[in-house]
Amino acid sequence: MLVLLAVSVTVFVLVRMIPGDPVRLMLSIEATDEDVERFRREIGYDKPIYHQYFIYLNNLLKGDLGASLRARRPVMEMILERMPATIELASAATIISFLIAVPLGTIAAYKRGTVFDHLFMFLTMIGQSMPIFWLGILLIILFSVQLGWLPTSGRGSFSQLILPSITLSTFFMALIARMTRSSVLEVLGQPYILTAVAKGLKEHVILFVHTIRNAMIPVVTVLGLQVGTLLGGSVITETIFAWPGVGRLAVSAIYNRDYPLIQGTILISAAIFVIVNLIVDLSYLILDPKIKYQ
Amino acid sequence: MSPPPKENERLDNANLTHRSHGRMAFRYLMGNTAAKTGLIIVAVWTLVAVLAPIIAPVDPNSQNLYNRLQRPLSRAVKGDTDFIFLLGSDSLGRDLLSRLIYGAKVSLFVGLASALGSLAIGCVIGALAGYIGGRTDEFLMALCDLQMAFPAILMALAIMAVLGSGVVNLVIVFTVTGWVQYARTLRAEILHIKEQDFVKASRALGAYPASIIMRHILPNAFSAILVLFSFQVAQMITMEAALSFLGVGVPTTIPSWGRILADGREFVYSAMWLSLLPGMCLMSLVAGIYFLGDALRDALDPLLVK
Repeated sequence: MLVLLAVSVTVFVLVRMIPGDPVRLMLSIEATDEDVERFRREIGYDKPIYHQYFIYLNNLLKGDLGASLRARRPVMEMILERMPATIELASAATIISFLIAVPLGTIAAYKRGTVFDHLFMFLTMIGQSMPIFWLGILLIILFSVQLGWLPTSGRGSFSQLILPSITLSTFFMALIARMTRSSVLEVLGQPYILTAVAKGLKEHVILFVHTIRNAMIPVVTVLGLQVGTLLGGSVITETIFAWPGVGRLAVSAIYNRDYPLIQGTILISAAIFVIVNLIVDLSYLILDPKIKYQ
Repeated sequence: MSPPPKENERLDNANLTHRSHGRMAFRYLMGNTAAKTGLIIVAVWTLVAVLAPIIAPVDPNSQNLYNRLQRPLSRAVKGDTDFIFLLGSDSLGRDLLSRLIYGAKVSLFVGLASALGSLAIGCVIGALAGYIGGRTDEFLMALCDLQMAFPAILMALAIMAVLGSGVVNLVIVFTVTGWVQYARTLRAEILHIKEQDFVKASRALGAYPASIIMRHILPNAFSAILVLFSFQVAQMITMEAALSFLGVGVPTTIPSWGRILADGREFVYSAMWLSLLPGMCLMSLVAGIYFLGDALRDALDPLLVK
């Protein structure tokens, strides 16, 4: 909560530092100075800035993020309208990353030092250093321009989801895979694994119950901290693939100097970050029964 | 009972182990293929960036619309007709090779300068938080949490919209968004080292906090910070390209890989090389730095180097 309050102050101050008169920008070129002043009073931009902030905060607590200067619609409504698209893209990317990265990372840890492991380390390194916007363009060139299999942009059908979600997931896939590998290696060296082997437990029981479950704790933690990167990545991915999500909304808000909309999108991203980290904390309960919250 | 060793002797010993540790790390690096590859890539790009005015065939901004979108290896249509566009030309007839060479300059400068800036601020804040502790620590760590909650790229986009595009502005933005990791690392390191006997001893001898931080804590935290630094240079280079790609990074007059890529994106159907080549440059540099940083981490880990 405190974090969100601080974020709201920071964003508010920052956004007001953007040069150029937003009131004039909103009106057509023919507007006279009088029109500008009248409109300024109408939307409350003539009051001192701290006063404007308190009005903003008061509305915020009621769930009202103000109205977009350009679209003249409630910011909350605009964001909520775009939210499903972003959630769809982000969860598709997260699921792809986990499904591919965790098995690969575990295999690499088991086959440490082999050709597979070296190849794994090399590929994940490439995956981590691949600039997301370039990857997006490469995929478009290969699958849309050359092969003509998949559409370059838009949202609606499943085929339109494929390229953006692969683009967004690659960095995380590489990150999670590397984390899984090192984490599994560490768990395999623990005495309780030796005990499990000595007890004569079946191999898949050791793998799923003892190894992977314990190895996931650091992986999930890092994932929570990387939610910011995921949101940032979705800004770029949405721009490349013309994906109608919150990221693109934020970018166009910044270009249009749409203050309430900029504030709203950044605030919502910060809120998502806080919430996801709360979920991460709760997921420890499932992963590690020793952790109990009062 | 033998007399305790003199101050000088002990210092010599300390230096000796320090030097040989460094040498061992160096030897490890040279024996590692990935590290050598990374080092070579980074060295080549650094040379390219430094020598850009000498090795670039033409001025990266000289335009000639008659020569627009020439394929790689084709001759100029107008102007100097003997001139060959080795890597083709862009939609304004500018030589892509020259633009890519100058692009290395921007990338490396922004990467290094902003990583250094973050390092300086992060270390000061981390040192204050770790050393003073209490309220100061709580406040500074809350600041870190706050910074973490912002999506870095949105934050950078918003600040760049305020400041306007420019290389110096980029460095400022990245410094503001990048210091947290250093602060956290150094703070953790200090909390660990502060309670060790040799630090308690020097405090008892009346050493100033600043001298304790400089002489005892920084050298111990050095390897962690160096590794962080190398990764951050790579991240900042990617961020610069991303922001320039979105159109708020460096101004149009300065060639930047991200900008070239964004310009070329419109021509993926007709002039694919404009999208492929800048990305390759960017990725090779970033991967080179990652390879180097990764090997550095292993090399500086005293438990791994035997």
